Amino acid sequence: MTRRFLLGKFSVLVGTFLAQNLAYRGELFFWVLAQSLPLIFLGLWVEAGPRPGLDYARYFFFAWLAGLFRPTGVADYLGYEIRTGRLSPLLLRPFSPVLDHLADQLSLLLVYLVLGLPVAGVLGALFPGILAGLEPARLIGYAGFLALGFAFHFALGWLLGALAFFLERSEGFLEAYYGALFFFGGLAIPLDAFSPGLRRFLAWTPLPYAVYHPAALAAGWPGARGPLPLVLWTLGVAALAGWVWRRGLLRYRAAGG
Amino acid sequence: MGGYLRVLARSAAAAAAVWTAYRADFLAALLGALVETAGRVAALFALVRAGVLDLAPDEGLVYLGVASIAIGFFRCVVGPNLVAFSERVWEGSLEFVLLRPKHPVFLLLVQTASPWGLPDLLAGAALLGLGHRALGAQAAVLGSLAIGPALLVAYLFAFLLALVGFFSVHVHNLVHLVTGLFAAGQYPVRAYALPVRVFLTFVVPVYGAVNLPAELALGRVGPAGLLGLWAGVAVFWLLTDRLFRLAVRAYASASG
Repeated sequence: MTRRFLLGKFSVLVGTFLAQNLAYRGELFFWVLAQSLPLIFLGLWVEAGPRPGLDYARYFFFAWLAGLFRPTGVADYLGYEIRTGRLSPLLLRPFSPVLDHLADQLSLLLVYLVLGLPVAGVLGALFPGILAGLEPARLIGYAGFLALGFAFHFALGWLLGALAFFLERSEGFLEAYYGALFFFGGLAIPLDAFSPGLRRFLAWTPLPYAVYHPAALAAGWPGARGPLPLVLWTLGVAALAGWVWRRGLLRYRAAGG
Repeated sequence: MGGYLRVLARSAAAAAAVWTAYRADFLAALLGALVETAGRVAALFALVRAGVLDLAPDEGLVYLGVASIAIGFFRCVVGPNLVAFSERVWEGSLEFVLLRPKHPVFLLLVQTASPWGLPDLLAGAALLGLGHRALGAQAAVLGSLAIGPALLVAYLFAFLLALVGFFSVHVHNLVHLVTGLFAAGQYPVRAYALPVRVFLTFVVPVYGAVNLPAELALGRVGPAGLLGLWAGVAVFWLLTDRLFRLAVRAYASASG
Protein backbone atom coordinates (compact mmCIF):
# COMPACT_ATOMS: atom_id res chain seq x y z
CA MET A 1 0.00 0.00 0.00
CA THR A 2 1.62 3.22 -1.08
CA ARG A 3 1.46 6.35 0.93
CA ARG A 4 -0.47 8.18 -1.82
CA PHE A 5 -3.13 5.49 -1.82
CA LEU A 6 -3.53 5.85 1.91
CA LEU A 7 -3.69 9.64 1.79
CA GLY A 8 -6.32 9.51 -0.95
CA LYS A 9 -8.47 7.13 1.08
CA PHE A 10 -7.89 9.18 4.19
CA SER A 11 -9.08 12.45 2.67
CA VAL A 12 -12.21 10.65 1.42
CA LEU A 13 -12.78 9.37 4.96
CA VAL A 14 -12.39 12.86 6.42
CA GLY A 15 -14.84 14.24 3.86
CA THR A 16 -17.39 11.52 4.60
CA PHE A 17 -17.21 11.99 8.35
CA LEU A 18 -17.38 15.75 7.86
CA ALA A 19 -20.68 15.37 5.98
CA GLN A 20 -21.96 12.98 8.64
CA ASN A 21 -21.00 15.25 11.52
CA LEU A 22 -22.38 18.34 9.82
CA ALA A 23 -25.77 16.62 9.78
CA TYR A 24 -25.76 16.95 13.59
CA ARG A 25 -24.59 20.57 13.67
CA GLY A 26 -27.41 21.70 15.99
CA GLU A 27 -26.54 19.03 18.51
CA LEU A 28 -22.82 19.75 18.15
CA PHE A 29 -23.44 23.44 18.74
CA PHE A 30 -24.89 22.55 22.14
CA TRP A 31 -21.75 20.49 22.73
CA VAL A 32 -19.51 23.45 21.94
CA LEU A 33 -21.62 25.63 24.24
CA ALA A 34 -21.28 23.02 27.00
CA GLN A 35 -17.51 23.05 26.44
CA SER A 36 -17.60 26.83 26.80
CA LEU A 37 -19.02 26.75 30.33
CA PRO A 38 -15.63 27.28 32.06
CA LEU A 39 -15.73 30.76 30.47
CA ILE A 40 -18.38 31.61 33.10
CA PHE A 41 -15.65 31.33 35.75
CA LEU A 42 -13.81 34.09 33.88
CA GLY A 43 -16.53 36.29 35.40
CA LEU A 44 -15.11 35.59 38.87
CA TRP A 45 -11.52 36.51 38.00
CA VAL A 46 -12.39 39.63 36.05
CA GLU A 47 -14.42 40.85 39.03
CA ALA A 48 -11.83 40.33 41.78
CA GLY A 49 -8.67 38.62 40.45
CA PRO A 50 -5.23 40.14 41.17
CA ARG A 51 -4.27 40.53 37.48
CA PRO A 52 -5.81 42.88 34.88
CA GLY A 53 -9.05 41.51 33.38
CA LEU A 54 -7.60 41.22 29.87
CA ASP A 55 -4.92 38.80 31.15
CA TYR A 56 -7.60 36.47 32.43
CA ALA A 57 -9.70 36.84 29.27
CA ARG A 58 -6.67 35.77 27.21
CA TYR A 59 -5.93 32.84 29.47
CA PHE A 60 -9.52 31.57 29.46
CA PHE A 61 -9.80 32.02 25.69
CA PHE A 62 -6.69 29.92 25.00
CA ALA A 63 -7.70 27.35 27.63
CA TRP A 64 -11.14 27.04 26.01
CA LEU A 65 -9.58 26.59 22.55
CA ALA A 66 -7.18 23.95 23.90
CA GLY A 67 -10.21 22.14 25.37
CA LEU A 68 -11.80 21.92 21.91
CA PHE A 69 -8.67 20.12 20.60
CA ARG A 70 -9.59 17.09 22.64
CA PRO A 71 -11.08 14.15 20.77
CA THR A 72 -13.72 13.06 23.27
CA GLY A 73 -15.76 10.50 21.35
CA VAL A 74 -13.11 7.87 20.59
CA ALA A 75 -13.59 5.66 23.66
CA ASP A 76 -17.40 5.75 23.37
CA TYR A 77 -17.54 4.92 19.66
CA LEU A 78 -14.84 2.26 19.76
CA GLY A 79 -16.37 0.57 22.81
CA TYR A 80 -19.76 0.63 21.10
CA GLU A 81 -18.34 -0.90 17.92
CA ILE A 82 -16.60 -3.65 19.86
CA ARG A 83 -19.64 -4.55 21.98
CA THR A 84 -22.14 -4.55 19.13
CA GLY A 85 -19.90 -6.26 16.55
CA ARG A 86 -19.96 -3.22 14.26
CA LEU A 87 -16.19 -3.40 14.31
CA SER A 88 -16.25 -6.46 12.00
CA PRO A 89 -16.87 -4.68 8.66
CA LEU A 90 -14.18 -2.11 9.58
CA LEU A 91 -11.65 -4.91 10.10
CA LEU A 92 -12.27 -6.28 6.60
CA ARG A 93 -10.90 -3.15 4.96
CA PRO A 94 -7.27 -2.81 3.89
CA PHE A 95 -6.44 -0.19 6.55
CA SER A 96 -6.73 0.02 10.30
CA PRO A 97 -9.92 1.28 12.00
CA VAL A 98 -7.62 3.79 13.74
CA LEU A 99 -7.79 5.80 10.53
CA ASP A 100 -11.61 5.83 10.63
CA HIS A 101 -11.59 7.26 14.11
CA LEU A 102 -8.81 9.69 13.33
CA ALA A 103 -10.72 10.98 10.30
CA ASP A 104 -13.91 11.23 12.36
CA GLN A 105 -12.22 13.21 15.13
CA LEU A 106 -10.37 15.52 12.73
CA SER A 107 -13.61 16.35 10.93
CA LEU A 108 -15.34 16.89 14.28
CA LEU A 109 -12.58 19.30 15.24
CA LEU A 110 -13.21 21.30 12.06
CA VAL A 111 -16.93 21.49 12.91
CA TYR A 112 -16.16 22.51 16.52
CA LEU A 113 -13.86 25.30 15.37
CA VAL A 114 -16.53 26.73 13.08
CA LEU A 115 -19.30 26.37 15.68
CA GLY A 116 -16.99 27.96 18.25
CA LEU A 117 -16.75 31.19 16.24
CA PRO A 118 -19.81 32.79 17.90
CA VAL A 119 -18.36 32.05 21.34
CA ALA A 120 -15.02 33.58 20.32
CA GLY A 121 -16.95 36.53 18.86
CA VAL A 122 -18.75 37.17 22.15
CA LEU A 123 -15.43 37.07 24.02
CA GLY A 124 -13.88 39.43 21.49
CA ALA A 125 -16.79 41.85 21.88
CA LEU A 126 -16.60 41.77 25.69
CA PHE A 127 -12.81 42.14 25.73
CA PRO A 128 -11.63 44.26 22.80
CA GLY A 129 -7.94 43.76 22.14
CA ILE A 130 -7.97 40.20 23.49
CA LEU A 131 -5.79 39.01 20.59
CA ALA A 132 -3.70 42.18 20.17
CA GLY A 133 0.04 42.13 20.90
CA LEU A 134 0.52 38.37 21.26
CA GLU A 135 3.97 36.98 20.54
CA PRO A 136 4.08 34.81 17.38
CA ALA A 137 6.76 32.52 18.84
CA ARG A 138 4.50 31.72 21.80
CA LEU A 139 1.57 31.04 19.45
CA ILE A 140 3.67 28.53 17.51
CA GLY A 141 4.52 26.77 20.77
CA TYR A 142 0.81 26.85 21.64
CA ALA A 143 -0.06 25.18 18.32
CA GLY A 144 2.49 22.46 19.05
CA PHE A 145 0.91 21.89 22.45
CA LEU A 146 -2.53 21.60 20.82
CA ALA A 147 -1.35 18.94 18.36
CA LEU A 148 0.28 17.02 21.20
CA GLY A 149 -2.84 17.28 23.37
CA PHE A 150 -4.95 15.97 20.48
CA ALA A 151 -2.58 13.00 20.08
CA PHE A 152 -2.57 12.25 23.80
CA HIS A 153 -6.35 12.29 24.19
CA PHE A 154 -6.80 10.26 21.02
CA ALA A 155 -4.44 7.59 22.39
CA LEU A 156 -6.17 7.68 25.78
CA GLY A 157 -9.59 7.28 24.14
CA TRP A 158 -8.26 4.38 22.07
CA LEU A 159 -6.87 2.68 25.18
CA LEU A 160 -10.12 2.99 27.15
CA GLY A 161 -12.24 2.07 24.13
CA ALA A 162 -10.13 -1.02 23.42
CA LEU A 163 -10.63 -2.13 27.03
CA ALA A 164 -14.19 -2.96 25.92
CA PHE A 165 -12.66 -6.19 24.52
CA PHE A 166 -12.13 -7.23 28.14
CA LEU A 167 -14.61 -5.23 30.24
CA GLU A 168 -18.31 -4.67 29.98
CA ARG A 169 -18.03 -0.87 29.97
CA SER A 170 -15.07 1.41 30.58
CA GLU A 171 -16.21 4.87 29.44
CA GLY A 172 -17.02 5.91 33.00
CA PHE A 173 -13.30 6.08 33.76
CA LEU A 174 -12.82 8.57 30.94
CA GLU A 175 -15.54 10.70 32.54
CA ALA A 176 -13.55 10.64 35.77
CA TYR A 177 -10.43 11.73 33.86
CA TYR A 178 -12.33 14.62 32.26
CA GLY A 179 -13.62 15.60 35.68
CA ALA A 180 -9.99 15.83 36.83
CA LEU A 181 -8.99 17.77 33.72
CA PHE A 182 -11.72 20.34 34.37
CA PHE A 183 -10.28 21.57 37.67
CA PHE A 184 -6.72 20.19 37.76
CA GLY A 185 -5.93 20.75 34.08
CA GLY A 186 -6.63 24.46 34.06
CA LEU A 187 -9.98 24.65 32.22
CA ALA A 188 -11.99 26.05 35.14
CA ILE A 189 -9.24 27.80 37.10
CA PRO A 190 -5.69 28.91 36.26
CA LEU A 191 -3.44 26.44 38.06
CA ASP A 192 -1.14 29.11 39.50
CA ALA A 193 -3.90 29.77 42.05
CA PHE A 194 -3.26 26.33 43.59
CA SER A 195 -0.73 25.68 46.35
CA PRO A 196 2.85 24.87 45.22
CA GLY A 197 2.64 21.33 46.70
CA LEU A 198 -0.43 20.46 44.64
CA ARG A 199 1.17 21.92 41.52
CA ARG A 200 4.36 19.89 42.03
CA PHE A 201 2.21 16.76 42.21
CA LEU A 202 0.18 17.72 39.14
CA ALA A 203 3.36 18.32 37.13
CA TRP A 204 3.83 14.53 37.04
CA THR A 205 0.39 13.98 35.49
CA PRO A 206 -0.60 14.86 31.90
CA LEU A 207 -3.31 17.25 33.16
CA PRO A 208 -1.55 20.66 33.28
CA TYR A 209 0.14 20.15 29.90
CA ALA A 210 -3.17 19.64 28.14
CA VAL A 211 -4.65 23.03 29.06
CA TYR A 212 -2.83 25.18 31.64
CA HIS A 213 0.70 25.36 30.22
CA PRO A 214 -0.37 25.95 26.59
CA ALA A 215 -2.89 28.62 27.64
CA ALA A 216 -0.40 30.33 29.98
CA LEU A 217 2.21 30.23 27.21
CA ALA A 218 -0.06 31.79 24.59
CA ALA A 219 -1.45 34.40 27.01
CA GLY A 220 2.10 35.48 27.85
CA TRP A 221 1.97 34.45 31.50
CA PRO A 222 5.25 33.58 33.22
CA GLY A 223 5.93 30.05 34.43
CA ALA A 224 4.68 28.04 31.45
CA ARG A 225 6.62 24.78 31.13
CA GLY A 226 7.70 22.68 28.18
CA PRO A 227 5.69 19.71 26.95
CA LEU A 228 8.25 16.93 27.57
CA PRO A 229 6.18 15.07 30.23
CA LEU A 230 3.17 15.03 27.93
CA VAL A 231 5.33 13.67 25.09
CA LEU A 232 6.37 10.79 27.37
CA TRP A 233 2.79 10.22 28.52
CA THR A 234 1.56 10.19 24.92
CA LEU A 235 4.18 7.65 23.87
CA GLY A 236 3.45 5.45 26.88
CA VAL A 237 -0.33 5.55 26.52
CA ALA A 238 -0.12 5.00 22.75
CA ALA A 239 2.13 1.96 23.22
CA LEU A 240 -0.23 0.55 25.85
CA ALA A 241 -3.27 1.25 23.65
CA GLY A 242 -1.64 -0.58 20.74
CA TRP A 243 -0.85 -3.56 22.94
CA VAL A 244 -4.38 -3.77 24.40
CA TRP A 245 -5.85 -3.38 20.91
CA ARG A 246 -3.80 -6.25 19.46
CA ARG A 247 -4.49 -8.51 22.45
CA GLY A 248 -8.17 -7.64 22.23
CA LEU A 249 -8.41 -8.43 18.53
CA LEU A 250 -7.19 -11.97 19.29
CA ARG A 251 -10.20 -12.44 21.59
CA TYR A 252 -12.68 -10.68 19.33
CA ARG A 253 -15.34 -12.97 17.86
CA ALA A 254 -17.74 -10.32 16.55
CA ALA A 255 -21.40 -10.48 17.43
CA GLY A 256 -22.58 -13.87 18.59
CA GLY A 257 -19.07 -15.10 19.47
CA MET B 1 -52.77 12.22 44.48
CA GLY B 2 -52.25 8.66 45.79
CA GLY B 3 -52.20 7.48 42.19
CA TYR B 4 -49.37 9.87 41.37
CA LEU B 5 -47.32 8.66 44.35
CA ARG B 6 -47.80 5.03 43.30
CA VAL B 7 -46.62 5.83 39.76
CA LEU B 8 -43.56 7.60 41.20
CA ALA B 9 -42.66 4.60 43.41
CA ARG B 10 -43.16 2.08 40.59
CA SER B 11 -40.97 3.94 38.10
CA ALA B 12 -38.22 4.44 40.69
CA ALA B 13 -38.19 0.70 41.45
CA ALA B 14 -38.13 -0.22 37.76
CA ALA B 15 -35.24 2.17 37.06
CA ALA B 16 -33.24 0.81 40.00
CA ALA B 17 -33.66 -2.72 38.66
CA VAL B 18 -32.38 -1.74 35.20
CA TRP B 19 -29.34 0.23 36.34
CA THR B 20 -27.97 -2.13 38.97
CA ALA B 21 -26.90 -4.35 36.05
CA TYR B 22 -23.86 -2.09 35.43
CA ARG B 23 -21.84 -2.21 38.62
CA ALA B 24 -18.45 -1.31 37.11
CA ASP B 25 -20.01 1.88 35.78
CA PHE B 26 -21.16 2.76 39.25
CA LEU B 27 -17.59 2.36 40.53
CA ALA B 28 -16.40 4.67 37.78
CA ALA B 29 -19.09 7.20 38.73
CA LEU B 30 -17.92 6.98 42.33
CA LEU B 31 -14.33 7.63 41.29
CA GLY B 32 -15.45 10.50 39.06
CA ALA B 33 -17.47 12.13 41.85
CA LEU B 34 -14.50 11.82 44.23
CA VAL B 35 -12.12 13.44 41.75
CA GLU B 36 -14.61 16.18 40.86
CA THR B 37 -15.39 16.92 44.50
CA ALA B 38 -11.68 17.14 45.27
CA GLY B 39 -11.33 19.53 42.34
CA ARG B 40 -14.23 21.70 43.49
CA VAL B 41 -12.90 21.91 47.05
CA ALA B 42 -9.34 22.67 45.89
CA ALA B 43 -10.65 25.34 43.51
CA LEU B 44 -12.82 26.82 46.27
CA PHE B 45 -9.87 27.19 48.64
CA ALA B 46 -7.69 28.58 45.83
CA LEU B 47 -10.35 31.17 44.98
CA VAL B 48 -10.72 32.16 48.64
CA ARG B 49 -6.93 32.44 49.04
CA ALA B 50 -6.58 34.53 45.87
CA GLY B 51 -9.23 36.88 47.28
CA VAL B 52 -11.57 36.18 44.34
CA LEU B 53 -14.27 34.84 46.67
CA ASP B 54 -15.05 36.95 49.71
CA LEU B 55 -16.23 34.03 51.87
CA ALA B 56 -15.20 32.07 54.93
CA PRO B 57 -14.17 28.55 53.82
CA ASP B 58 -17.06 27.04 55.84
CA GLU B 59 -19.57 29.21 54.01
CA GLY B 60 -18.00 28.23 50.71
CA LEU B 61 -18.46 24.55 51.61
CA VAL B 62 -22.18 25.17 52.16
CA TYR B 63 -22.55 26.71 48.68
CA LEU B 64 -20.54 23.82 47.24
CA GLY B 65 -22.61 21.21 49.12
CA VAL B 66 -25.91 22.52 47.80
CA ALA B 67 -24.46 22.67 44.27
CA SER B 68 -23.22 19.06 44.55
CA ILE B 69 -26.71 17.96 45.56
CA ALA B 70 -28.15 19.80 42.55
CA ILE B 71 -25.56 18.16 40.26
CA GLY B 72 -26.36 14.74 41.73
CA PHE B 73 -30.07 15.36 41.18
CA PHE B 74 -29.38 16.28 37.56
CA ARG B 75 -27.36 13.09 37.00
CA CYS B 76 -29.89 10.87 38.82
CA VAL B 77 -33.17 12.29 37.61
CA VAL B 78 -33.10 15.25 35.22
CA GLY B 79 -30.64 13.96 32.61
CA PRO B 80 -32.04 10.41 32.26
CA ASN B 81 -35.63 11.67 32.02
CA LEU B 82 -34.89 14.37 29.46
CA VAL B 83 -33.00 11.87 27.31
CA ALA B 84 -35.84 9.34 27.68
CA PHE B 85 -38.31 12.05 26.66
CA SER B 86 -36.39 12.95 23.49
CA GLU B 87 -36.06 9.26 22.62
CA ARG B 88 -39.82 8.91 22.85
CA VAL B 89 -40.23 11.83 20.47
CA TRP B 90 -37.92 10.48 17.79
CA GLU B 91 -39.07 6.89 18.14
CA GLY B 92 -42.68 8.03 17.98
CA SER B 93 -43.63 6.39 21.27
CA LEU B 94 -44.80 9.54 23.03
CA GLU B 95 -48.39 8.29 22.62
CA PHE B 96 -47.75 5.75 25.35
CA VAL B 97 -47.45 8.75 27.64
CA LEU B 98 -50.04 11.04 26.08
CA LEU B 99 -52.79 8.41 26.23
CA ARG B 100 -52.45 7.71 29.95
CA PRO B 101 -54.90 9.29 32.40
CA LYS B 102 -52.27 11.32 34.32
CA HIS B 103 -50.68 14.63 33.32
CA PRO B 104 -48.17 13.84 30.53
CA VAL B 105 -45.53 16.25 31.87
CA PHE B 106 -45.65 14.54 35.27
CA LEU B 107 -45.29 11.12 33.64
CA LEU B 108 -42.34 12.35 31.57
CA LEU B 109 -40.64 13.85 34.62
CA VAL B 110 -40.78 10.57 36.60
CA GLN B 111 -40.16 8.05 33.78
CA THR B 112 -36.81 6.79 34.96
CA ALA B 113 -33.83 7.48 37.21
CA SER B 114 -30.19 6.48 37.36
CA PRO B 115 -27.91 5.84 40.34
CA TRP B 116 -24.96 7.66 38.67
CA GLY B 117 -25.56 10.84 40.58
CA LEU B 118 -25.72 9.14 44.00
CA PRO B 119 -22.00 9.75 44.68
CA ASP B 120 -22.56 13.47 44.00
CA LEU B 121 -25.52 13.49 46.40
CA LEU B 122 -23.35 11.84 49.07
CA ALA B 123 -20.52 14.29 48.39
CA GLY B 124 -22.99 17.14 48.76
CA ALA B 125 -24.16 15.85 52.13
CA ALA B 126 -20.54 15.41 53.27
CA LEU B 127 -19.61 18.96 52.20
CA LEU B 128 -22.60 20.36 54.10
CA GLY B 129 -21.46 18.37 57.13
CA LEU B 130 -17.94 19.80 56.82
CA GLY B 131 -19.28 23.33 56.60
CA HIS B 132 -21.81 22.91 59.44
CA ARG B 133 -20.08 25.50 61.63
CA ALA B 134 -21.37 28.23 59.34
CA LEU B 135 -24.97 27.12 59.87
CA GLY B 136 -27.48 28.17 62.52
CA ALA B 137 -30.00 25.53 63.63
CA GLN B 138 -33.13 27.36 62.52
CA ALA B 139 -31.57 28.55 59.28
CA ALA B 140 -30.38 25.02 58.50
CA VAL B 141 -33.98 23.75 58.73
CA LEU B 142 -35.13 26.52 56.38
CA GLY B 143 -32.31 25.68 53.97
CA SER B 144 -33.13 21.99 53.86
CA LEU B 145 -36.82 22.79 53.30
CA ALA B 146 -35.74 24.95 50.36
CA ILE B 147 -33.78 22.25 48.54
CA GLY B 148 -36.93 20.46 47.31
CA PRO B 149 -38.58 23.43 45.60
CA ALA B 150 -35.19 24.67 44.37
CA LEU B 151 -34.52 21.39 42.57
CA LEU B 152 -38.05 21.48 41.13
CA VAL B 153 -37.42 24.94 39.69
CA ALA B 154 -34.22 23.70 38.08
CA TYR B 155 -35.94 20.56 36.76
CA LEU B 156 -38.86 22.44 35.22
CA PHE B 157 -36.50 24.97 33.66
CA ALA B 158 -34.42 22.15 32.14
CA PHE B 159 -37.58 20.46 30.85
CA LEU B 160 -38.67 23.72 29.19
CA LEU B 161 -35.35 23.79 27.32
CA ALA B 162 -35.68 20.11 26.43
CA LEU B 163 -38.96 20.82 24.62
CA VAL B 164 -36.53 21.62 21.81
CA GLY B 165 -36.51 17.81 21.51
CA PHE B 166 -39.71 18.13 19.49
CA PHE B 167 -37.71 19.88 16.77
CA SER B 168 -34.20 18.40 17.11
CA VAL B 169 -32.97 14.83 17.25
CA HIS B 170 -30.89 14.50 20.40
CA VAL B 171 -30.84 16.40 23.67
CA HIS B 172 -27.78 14.77 25.32
CA ASN B 173 -25.56 17.79 24.85
CA LEU B 174 -28.31 20.14 25.93
CA VAL B 175 -28.48 18.16 29.17
CA HIS B 176 -24.69 18.56 29.58
CA LEU B 177 -25.06 22.27 29.00
CA VAL B 178 -27.87 22.80 31.51
CA THR B 179 -26.14 20.68 34.17
CA GLY B 180 -22.99 22.74 33.70
CA LEU B 181 -24.90 26.01 33.93
CA PHE B 182 -26.40 25.05 37.27
CA ALA B 183 -22.93 23.94 38.43
CA ALA B 184 -21.90 27.61 38.09
CA GLY B 185 -23.94 28.10 41.28
CA GLN B 186 -21.21 26.34 43.30
CA TYR B 187 -19.93 29.86 43.96
CA PRO B 188 -22.22 32.68 45.07
CA VAL B 189 -23.66 34.32 41.98
CA ARG B 190 -22.91 37.78 43.40
CA ALA B 191 -19.15 37.06 43.12
CA TYR B 192 -19.36 37.07 39.31
CA ALA B 193 -18.99 40.09 37.02
CA LEU B 194 -22.25 41.97 36.41
CA PRO B 195 -23.29 40.50 33.00
CA VAL B 196 -22.73 36.95 34.29
CA ARG B 197 -24.64 37.78 37.48
CA VAL B 198 -27.64 39.00 35.47
CA PHE B 199 -27.50 35.92 33.25
CA LEU B 200 -27.32 33.48 36.16
CA THR B 201 -30.16 35.18 38.02
CA PHE B 202 -32.74 36.15 35.42
CA VAL B 203 -31.99 34.11 32.27
CA VAL B 204 -31.12 30.80 33.93
CA PRO B 205 -32.48 30.50 37.50
CA VAL B 206 -29.12 29.40 38.95
CA TYR B 207 -29.34 31.86 41.81
CA GLY B 208 -32.79 30.63 42.87
CA ALA B 209 -32.14 26.93 42.36
CA VAL B 210 -28.62 26.61 43.79
CA ASN B 211 -27.62 29.72 45.76
CA LEU B 212 -30.89 30.42 47.54
CA PRO B 213 -31.04 27.22 49.67
CA ALA B 214 -27.41 27.86 50.72
CA GLU B 215 -28.14 31.48 51.63
CA LEU B 216 -31.25 30.45 53.58
CA ALA B 217 -29.13 27.92 55.48
CA LEU B 218 -26.46 30.54 56.16
CA GLY B 219 -29.11 32.96 57.43
CA ARG B 220 -28.35 35.51 54.70
CA VAL B 221 -31.89 35.34 53.34
CA GLY B 222 -35.06 35.27 55.48
CA PRO B 223 -38.01 32.83 55.24
CA ALA B 224 -39.46 34.93 52.41
CA GLY B 225 -36.89 33.21 50.18
CA LEU B 226 -38.67 29.91 50.74
CA LEU B 227 -42.00 31.40 49.70
CA GLY B 228 -40.32 32.86 46.65
CA LEU B 229 -39.05 29.42 45.65
CA TRP B 230 -42.52 27.88 45.87
CA ALA B 231 -43.88 30.78 43.82
CA GLY B 232 -41.14 29.98 41.30
CA VAL B 233 -42.25 26.35 41.17
CA ALA B 234 -45.85 27.45 40.49
CA VAL B 235 -44.83 29.85 37.72
CA PHE B 236 -42.52 27.33 36.04
CA TRP B 237 -45.20 24.61 36.27
CA LEU B 238 -47.81 26.81 34.54
CA LEU B 239 -45.25 27.77 31.89
CA THR B 240 -44.23 24.14 31.31
CA ASP B 241 -47.87 23.02 31.06
CA ARG B 242 -48.69 25.69 28.46
CA LEU B 243 -45.53 25.29 26.38
CA PHE B 244 -45.79 21.49 26.40
CA ARG B 245 -49.33 21.71 24.98
CA LEU B 246 -48.05 24.12 22.36
CA ALA B 247 -44.98 22.06 21.44
CA VAL B 248 -46.81 18.75 21.30
CA ARG B 249 -48.59 20.06 18.19
CA ALA B 250 -45.28 19.65 16.38
CA TYR B 251 -45.30 15.94 17.31
CA ALA B 252 -46.28 13.79 14.36
CA SER B 253 -45.92 10.31 15.91
CA ALA B 254 -44.00 7.47 14.26
CA SER B 255 -45.19 8.28 10.76
CA GLY B 256 -44.33 12.00 10.86
